[in-house]
Amino acid sequence: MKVKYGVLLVTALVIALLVPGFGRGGASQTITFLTAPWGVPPDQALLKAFTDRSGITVQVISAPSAEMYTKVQVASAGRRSPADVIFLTEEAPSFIVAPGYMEPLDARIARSADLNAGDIERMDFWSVGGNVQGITTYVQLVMMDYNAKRLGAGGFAKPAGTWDELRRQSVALKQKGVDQYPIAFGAIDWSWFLMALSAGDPMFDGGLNPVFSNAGSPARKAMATLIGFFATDKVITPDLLTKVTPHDVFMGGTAVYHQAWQGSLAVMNNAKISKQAPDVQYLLMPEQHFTWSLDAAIGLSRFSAKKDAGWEFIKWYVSPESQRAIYKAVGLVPSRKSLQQALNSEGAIQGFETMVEQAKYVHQLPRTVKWWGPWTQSVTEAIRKAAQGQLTPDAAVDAVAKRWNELKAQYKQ
Amino acid sequence: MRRIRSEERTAYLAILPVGLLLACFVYYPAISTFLMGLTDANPRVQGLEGSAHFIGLRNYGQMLGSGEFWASVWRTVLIVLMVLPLELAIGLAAAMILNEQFRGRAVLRTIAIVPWMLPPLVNGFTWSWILNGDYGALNGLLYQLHLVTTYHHWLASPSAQLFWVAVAQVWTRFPFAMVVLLAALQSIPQDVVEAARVDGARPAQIFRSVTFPMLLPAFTVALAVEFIVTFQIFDVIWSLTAGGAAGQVINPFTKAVMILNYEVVFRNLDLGLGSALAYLILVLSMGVGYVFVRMLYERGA
Amino acid sequence: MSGAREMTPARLVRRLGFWLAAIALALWSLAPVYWIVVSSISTRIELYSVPYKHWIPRAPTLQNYVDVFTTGPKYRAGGFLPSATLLYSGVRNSLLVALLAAACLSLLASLAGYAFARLNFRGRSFLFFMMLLLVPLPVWVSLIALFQLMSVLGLIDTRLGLILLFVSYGAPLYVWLMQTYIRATPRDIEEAALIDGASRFRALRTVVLPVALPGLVSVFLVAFLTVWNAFLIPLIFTNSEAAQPLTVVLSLFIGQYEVAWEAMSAAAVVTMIPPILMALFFQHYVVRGLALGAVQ
Repeated sequence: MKVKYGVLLVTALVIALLVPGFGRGGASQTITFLTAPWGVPPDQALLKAFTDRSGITVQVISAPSAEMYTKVQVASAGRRSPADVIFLTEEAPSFIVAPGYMEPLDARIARSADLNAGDIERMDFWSVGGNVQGITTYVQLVMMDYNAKRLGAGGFAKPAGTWDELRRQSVALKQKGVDQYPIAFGAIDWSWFLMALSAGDPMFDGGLNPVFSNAGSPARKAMATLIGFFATDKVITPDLLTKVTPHDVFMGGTAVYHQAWQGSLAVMNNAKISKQAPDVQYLLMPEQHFTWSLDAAIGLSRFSAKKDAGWEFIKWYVSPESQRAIYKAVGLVPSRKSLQQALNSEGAIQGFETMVEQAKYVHQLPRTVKWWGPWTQSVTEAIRKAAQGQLTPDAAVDAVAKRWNELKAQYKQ
Repeated sequence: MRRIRSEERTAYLAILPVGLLLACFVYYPAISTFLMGLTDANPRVQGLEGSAHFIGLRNYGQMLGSGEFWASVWRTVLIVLMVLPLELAIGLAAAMILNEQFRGRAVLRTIAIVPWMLPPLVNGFTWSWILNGDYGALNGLLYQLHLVTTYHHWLASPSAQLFWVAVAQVWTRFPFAMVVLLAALQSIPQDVVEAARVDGARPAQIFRSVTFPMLLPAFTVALAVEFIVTFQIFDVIWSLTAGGAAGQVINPFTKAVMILNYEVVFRNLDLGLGSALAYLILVLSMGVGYVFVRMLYERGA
Repeated sequence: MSGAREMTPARLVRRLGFWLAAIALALWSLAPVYWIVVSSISTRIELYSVPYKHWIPRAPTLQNYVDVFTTGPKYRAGGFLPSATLLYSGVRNSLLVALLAAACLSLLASLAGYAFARLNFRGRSFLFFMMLLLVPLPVWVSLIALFQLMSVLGLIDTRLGLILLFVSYGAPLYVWLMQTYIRATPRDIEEAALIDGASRFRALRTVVLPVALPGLVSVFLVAFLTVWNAFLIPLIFTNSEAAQPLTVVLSLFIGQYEVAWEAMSAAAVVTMIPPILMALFFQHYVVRGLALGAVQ
């Protein structure tokens, strides 16, 4: 039975090797921070200073947002904490907040004068069910930008003021050979929301009933225009039928107009990674100018055992110096109004005037309703089917309105 | 009699560790999943305070009655039909090449498993990078070889999306078939093959009547495993056509059964329905896999 | 027998065909990887070149690798790589977990595969069936129950926990594979050893496994690569550098709004190096295993 001893020996060896893995987590002041990659604290020295001051070590776990939510849901559905502190991106309200996986923060905010919560923008968005679920870390209006030089090459001195004009310009740019695909918009829900809002469609009424499907609504026209870009005008590259975001396409040098975000100029005018540099400028959204915003926040897992330490970290994360470091590193516009002004007076924000102007036209979509996530999936599916000619634009709008009402009934049961 | 009993004891001892692990980490969660499939569990609907209700087999009825489910099964079957023949043919050919004696064999053997070493997350992105219609490498190559005059958008149509998903899957998985089959080829005693050759059999004949029958058990394993792997294709679709960088959009035209399962569980948070769907996928994989394996065994017998 | 002389042209054609096939195999396997390697030493702007791609970068740079190992690339929304320590701990965790899991799987699969291939016992086919039954069950939903179980056992964020999971979920396949390989080995040598008074385990170790070595090596290799590439399971069950493997660390390269091809390519090349070394190392053993097999 020599082999048996061999097996025992190997087993013992394996266990011995792995034992250091046990007994971890005893170090009380180590917390975990689960974030999408762009939420990783960029300035290591700053983070270390926080650790030295507070005695709290932060383990950062970063994953693409879809996988990040998978992790949160697996753990939270079993009432375990996926991490102590969680970064909340634009999809979080429906996927993490709605099921009740986040800790209400109202009491902590009230106790923390050092947070200076009044300085932080759009906190109201993260109040769900009467409780604050997260602290805004950056603000991000959905915007559009364009390459002024190439638009000029097509003979247009100014960007389009209406969607019809934008369409005419794009067709002309294509015919003149300035760009084969002058628009970079994805075949996804966002493109339609953006076009419908800016054309003045409120999308929903106060009772969360769809008004976008009313006869002759701006949203119906927006859908027809968007599908026309793909199917008949062919002014959007077919690659965007499968890609989620249009930014790679634009940075690679295709397109004159581009669906962008608050802060995009810092990237699009960076000659190291963008062929559009340095001629990219924001435009105010066409027609009624409305848009919505995709801010991010940071909050505590309801199942965390280290909420106090987690809260200390959150306060540090949204502090002016941390937000400044994030802006410098990745161009995310800080949620603190005082810091925005300071950065602007330093001349550090490109296109600040258009940003400020655009910020006057914000119409939030009801992204905190529980069925928002499943519904937006059906919107993207309808757009893609319509772009392939499997649905008419009107049928696509009808389909998503029907889906909205079905989901609303299911969740209100 | 003593011999038999000690043989039994040896056997139970030998399979005990595997049995314990399976009971603990596979069967226990699987059974709890099955029970969840009999409820309407959805934490988004019920919230943390509410609890799910027992609804019997209604989830199964709902799934089997939904067009979405059958459409995803059909898409998956199409992918399987494209992937399996190609993958096993390439895997077998590669194994036979590497079973010969030639200079550079060790290098080629390593080269041929490189596709498998690419992390799955990177694999799909790499293909979407290569297939990019505006500045991709495949377009560049064909253009430089004067095979095309303008860049082509490879992923524009729904059927093309399925096709390229299949190609990427074949590329990344054929080394598995190759490794499994190569090991089996190497276990074939050379004297048997030699004897056939001396008898004047042609290489094709030797392959048909000597090599392939001895390869059949390993071939069956490879086929069954790859059937399940392909039927449950996820990573490649996710990064090539479904998710993309933001990962929050699921492409309807490449929604295979596992993508649908992911959507039901993690997007809709319909844990009950998702559990039922998982068991339907199990039954479908087992059913079709079983038919495959039986057909092969019977042909081999 | 036909004369060897007439065979020569046919043999030449066969040889030519063989080399063409071998070259085709190499091209098919390497072409996409070549593009990754090129991407990893190019600048982003050069990667956007149209219609002529630069198959050899005009301005090759190692900056992407420097970024991977030091501070991280400074592009929008690509995030920052954590300190190099996280990367090194990623390599360490990946290696430890993949090696130990593959070793455990090889050991357990040899034992159980031998039992299923050669030993008679009650319930053999039933147990074999039960072992394979749940292989095709998608793990998504089971993950919730599994997560609860793992946290009760204190196995979250430990390498031991990962190894247990990989071994449990991999075992059925590898037992099945080993069973077919062991079945293919000749019975008579084993009988001889048993008659000489060797125990079953001894016969397995000294007689059966050496003959089935190519199979055992392939099981180890397949298991190693599968574990090395796993992403979802380690993402969910690890939280820190104590156990996080390389694949999870590398997902940092996927940004919010763009993929940094050049940085991700460099990271992909870094991930691929250890398994390539492993495979090269194994060639040696495969070849030796062959030689051993030939002696018998």
